[in-house]
Amino acid sequence: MKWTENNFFDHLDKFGNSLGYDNIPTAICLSMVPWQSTEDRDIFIMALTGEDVKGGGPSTFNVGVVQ
Amino acid sequence: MAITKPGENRGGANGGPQYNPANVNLLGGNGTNGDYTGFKYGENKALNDSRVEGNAAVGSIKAAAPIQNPASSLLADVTPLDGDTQDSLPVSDGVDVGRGRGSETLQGQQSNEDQNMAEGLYLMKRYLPELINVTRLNGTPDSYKKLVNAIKQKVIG
Repeated sequence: MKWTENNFFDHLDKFGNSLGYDNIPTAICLSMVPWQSTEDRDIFIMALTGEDVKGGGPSTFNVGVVQ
Repeated sequence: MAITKPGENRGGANGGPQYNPANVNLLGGNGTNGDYTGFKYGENKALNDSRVEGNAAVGSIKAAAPIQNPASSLLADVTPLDGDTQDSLPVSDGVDVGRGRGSETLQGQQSNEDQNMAEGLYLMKRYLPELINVTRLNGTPDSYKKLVNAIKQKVIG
């Protein structure tokens, strides 16, 4: 299996990193929203934070290990 | 043999009393049934004169009366955020503005924060195993792995 965009985990990556680690519960809730597309989600994040969306995608993939 | 028809009685002018000019009243409507109660010229003039006099009198009364703003009269006895409630506490009690105690006296605010923290912790605990599994997928970004590490630290402490 591969990492795919526009699912719960991808949403959590973007919301968690954009809202900050102190707002992870909020990020989890927002990740459950069935966003129509990643563009819609990113527009919402930018409107919410006033900044660019943070978090990675397949193009930014780097090997990492959970501690 | 000749055929005879019965007398024709359908529609059309039948020579009734409404065709007699003597029965048509120029005033129309109720003028012919005795209910008409119109005034003669002299009576109408007297009524109109009294109406004009009455309007003039009312106008002079209104001009003499002082103009009062209805909103100001309604709010005359109200002093927002400054008056005392019936239990002798200021209406601004519990708010960080005005007299009285501040928002620290409201017990519900702290409990709501605690409840949100508890719910957040529950969510993170519930999803953590699956979140960790996804970090092993091919192509998982580092930002997601760092996020999962942060969640793990919050849950385990």
